[in-house]
Amino acid sequence: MTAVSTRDLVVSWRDRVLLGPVSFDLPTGTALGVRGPSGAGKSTLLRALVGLLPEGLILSGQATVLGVDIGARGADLPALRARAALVGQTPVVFPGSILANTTLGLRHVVRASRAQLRARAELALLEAGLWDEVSDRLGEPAEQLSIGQRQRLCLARALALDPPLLLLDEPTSALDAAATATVEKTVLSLLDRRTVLVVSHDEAQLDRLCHAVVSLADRTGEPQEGAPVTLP
Amino acid sequence: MATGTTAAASGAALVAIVAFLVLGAASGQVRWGELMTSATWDPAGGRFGGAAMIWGTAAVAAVALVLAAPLGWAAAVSIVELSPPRWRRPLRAGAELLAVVPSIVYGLLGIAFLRPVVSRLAGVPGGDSLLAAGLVLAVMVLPTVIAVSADALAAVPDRYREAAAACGLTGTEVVRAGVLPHAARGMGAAALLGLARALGETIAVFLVVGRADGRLPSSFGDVMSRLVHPGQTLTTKLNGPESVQAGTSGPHWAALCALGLVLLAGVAALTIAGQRRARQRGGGRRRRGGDPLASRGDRRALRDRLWRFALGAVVGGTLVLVAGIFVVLAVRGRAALDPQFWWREAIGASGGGIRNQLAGTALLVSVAGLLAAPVGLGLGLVTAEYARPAAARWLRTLTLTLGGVPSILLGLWGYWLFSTRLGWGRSWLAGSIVLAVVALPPVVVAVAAGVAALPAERREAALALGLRRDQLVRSVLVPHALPGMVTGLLLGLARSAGETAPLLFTAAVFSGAPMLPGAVADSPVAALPTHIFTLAQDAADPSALDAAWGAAVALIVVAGLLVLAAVPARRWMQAKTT
Amino acid sequence: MGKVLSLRVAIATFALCLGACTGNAGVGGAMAGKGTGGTLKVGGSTTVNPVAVDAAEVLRRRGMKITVDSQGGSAGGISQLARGQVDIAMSSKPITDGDRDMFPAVDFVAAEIGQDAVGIIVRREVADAGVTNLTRAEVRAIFEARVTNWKALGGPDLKVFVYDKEPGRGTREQLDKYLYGPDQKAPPPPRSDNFAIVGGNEEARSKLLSTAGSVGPLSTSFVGGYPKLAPVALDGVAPTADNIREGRYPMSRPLFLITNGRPTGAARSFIDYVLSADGQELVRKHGYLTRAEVGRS
Repeated sequence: MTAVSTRDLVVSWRDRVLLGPVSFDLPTGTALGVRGPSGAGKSTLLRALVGLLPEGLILSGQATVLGVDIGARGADLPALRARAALVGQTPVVFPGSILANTTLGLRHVVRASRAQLRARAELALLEAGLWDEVSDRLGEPAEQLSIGQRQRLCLARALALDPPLLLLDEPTSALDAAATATVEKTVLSLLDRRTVLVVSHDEAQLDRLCHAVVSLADRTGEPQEGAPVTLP
Repeated sequence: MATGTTAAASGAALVAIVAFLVLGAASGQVRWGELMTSATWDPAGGRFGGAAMIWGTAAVAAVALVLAAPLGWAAAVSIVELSPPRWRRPLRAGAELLAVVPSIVYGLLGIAFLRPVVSRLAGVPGGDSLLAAGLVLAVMVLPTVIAVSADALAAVPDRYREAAAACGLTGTEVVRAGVLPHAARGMGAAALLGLARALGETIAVFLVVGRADGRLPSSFGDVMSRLVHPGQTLTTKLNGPESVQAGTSGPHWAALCALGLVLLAGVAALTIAGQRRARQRGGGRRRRGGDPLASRGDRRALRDRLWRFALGAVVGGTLVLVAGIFVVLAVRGRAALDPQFWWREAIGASGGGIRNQLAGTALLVSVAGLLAAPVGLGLGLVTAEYARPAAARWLRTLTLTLGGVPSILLGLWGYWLFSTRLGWGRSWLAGSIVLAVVALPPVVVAVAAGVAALPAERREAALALGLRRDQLVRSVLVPHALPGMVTGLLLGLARSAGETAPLLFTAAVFSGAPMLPGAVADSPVAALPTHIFTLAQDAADPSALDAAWGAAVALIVVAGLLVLAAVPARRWMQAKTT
Repeated sequence: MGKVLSLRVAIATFALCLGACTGNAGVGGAMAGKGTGGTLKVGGSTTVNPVAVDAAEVLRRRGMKITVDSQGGSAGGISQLARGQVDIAMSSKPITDGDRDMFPAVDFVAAEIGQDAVGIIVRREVADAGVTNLTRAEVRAIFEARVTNWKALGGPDLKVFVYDKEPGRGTREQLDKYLYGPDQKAPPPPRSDNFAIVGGNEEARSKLLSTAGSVGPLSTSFVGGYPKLAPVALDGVAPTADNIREGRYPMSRPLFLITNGRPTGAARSFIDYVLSADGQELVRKHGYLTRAEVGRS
């Protein structure tokens, strides 16, 4: 089984190529790292995979994520995003309680009682390694959390959906060393249960987290052909 | 030194208006208890109860808000969140065209279309009613709610949309869960600012409200019946003949000034609250999401489409309304197609051309611009550059409150100060000064915003060259703020061009004003809005009505040109100063 | 530097200008309106307005500068005259003791230019159905909202909708005087649903024209040429020229041009013209009775 499969995936804006062509397969149950300097299109790749490219960017080539052809007209992208959860590089916290933040996606996606939602949220917080720190104040505003906690809250928000695939975009770039270590620990603990795609400019981090790593070419400066990337 | 002078002048316009009302109210004993609670207004009998007017004001504002707030919110969400990006600007501009139409023209539309509708639906003769006034106001308030709400939505950073969408939410779910919590305060502010506008509107209400002092609803069930019958609001009372008859002192005048203070207090409170809310970022408390009941899955996509459709329909409806208004104006205002109409003099109350009115409006507006530009530039610089933070906050609040002052109060202030105290009678200069006050707030806001937007490096670089503060202001800040000032000025003048109530009291006469005034102070002029007002009241005479619609088209052309000029003027200024 | 300096000057000027509002009381008064570049200002009653507008039109061609305005009606005109904002007040009501008490320093001099009748105007369908004559008691019942359907007065089964004039209008005072006598104060407006207020005569006419079952007080001269409207007879006396001349019609009233002190200069020329044969022809043209017709000169 492959969770993600791309063939000559290219993202461009007007006549400028921002990413690709990229071809790789991500087998279910593995963790793949994507590295490259800033501007190489790492974040663009993740957004392309769940149809979150900014307006005006053009996608060509082939990409299948969890069996969904993302280039196809009428693909149910919201449903896909609930299964292929993306966590961005800066933690985005919504006004509202920690609990409300954790169930933000879940409560729209599943039909469940409040108690069921809460149970799922607690599990997710546990899995994200945040439970011990917030278990006594789930009803308090999430804005109180430190930045490292916030990033794990975002992770919990994604995990609450119980997604088969996790897409992590520079999960620690906004964090200090201590918070980075905590988040890395959390990610490592996830690896046996989930398929994960991580992008990072930090090669050491990718080596620590991933089974395999691919590189994207530098795209800053003049448009150039990117070296095709193929996963072994 | 000069800074002190400017700062002293800054709040002066607002302070002067408040002072005039307080002085007026102090010129005769005001029995506040009676004013606020009694519904008997009988000047001959010395009884001044304003409750009927307060009720009328509350009723028309409530009708307007109940309609305009949800529709405006829905339209803003649909435009900003759910439309393709390249449609957003045109859709927004289309909806905001409603704001270009001067209130006198809304009054005319109300007479022609809403009175008959209310009359037929409610089975009351005439159709002059609080409801008709509320409906007119709803349309007038709509662009305010849309514009402020759209700004609030657009200010929500995209990362929240992405984060919510990354959780698998559909488009409308993203809006509800990820965007609205952040925009809620701003959208609440939109409603408050809309309400403030509704409370202060005079002329459109005056033409369709019926102006019988009315009475308070005797029971809750009586409210509907009161709404479809004539009533009086605070603004229409002040716009009536009593203000001219009451003299400028004594119990009658004092009671009128007290009504003005009540009106001003309400509008100022709403404006300040609205601006505070609009400025504060995010932080709105989440409503409880409630239990997810419906089965999710396929229905979510369907529900998303239904919501999109419903919200889109509101935008569509708004645009149809805009188109309808302009079609009506084009059809009824055929008189304006005839070039003769623009160049002939008016004949009495029933027609002819609009030459003198056009010239009068041009004179009033351009002199108002000449007054508002330097004063607004000065106030803006003081607010953004010279004043200490606390003072600057006050100045900003004063400016915004001044922008919310109902124009009828500006008119009465001008009447009291220029026409009566200074003995100018009807005076084009008085009219221009009052219109300058109308146009001032957008100029101040634009200048202050321009200065605030100056990149810190540039200021630093200039100071590093050894410039003193005055030199910094002159050669860095002023050139930087000028393009914004011109835009603000043109938009402010577009609004002042359509003002009617102030001119009725200060500047315009019914007949005989020459094309250009013969004296500096005490010489009246004719003006387009007051001309339409006179003709609209004569609404049964077909030729008068044709002339009124024609003049309405001319007025919209004038206001529209000022608005349209704002964009190229800004570009030109920018090209020139950089 | 020059730019900034001029800016400061402008601001300071504005500040002074605003400062004037608190410091400068008691200018104005009777002296305004003279020495104003020679413009004669006329203001007040919408009933007199058409005559004054036409007269001004003629005199303007002879080089006079005249403005005419009807904001505030008769009382507004008198009040503006007393404050020196106009030179001539148009009025459809005589100066009362109340006016003299309010403005003791003003020497009101009134010139009667003709006569007018205030009609109780109903809609043609109401008149045709039989309401052609009303007694004083019936009119009072209508305006106090004690009669709410024309059926009660022998008319069609149609709701009565009253358009009264706003306070201070000469027309309103004439009606109040007729209904309640010269010394009695009129009661406050009735607590009625079908009651609205109108301002000038044009507005009254257009509202009457657009509302079924409506009734209102309005100068009969404003009804001529509008077949949808009809004046009723009061206590059996119709507002005909004869009845007005002979003083039989109860709501006839003189029309005035009022000055502060004996008119001089431009004001004198204006009033003299309206009183001349040409001017009186304008009075007749607008449906009023001339001075000659009522036996004044």
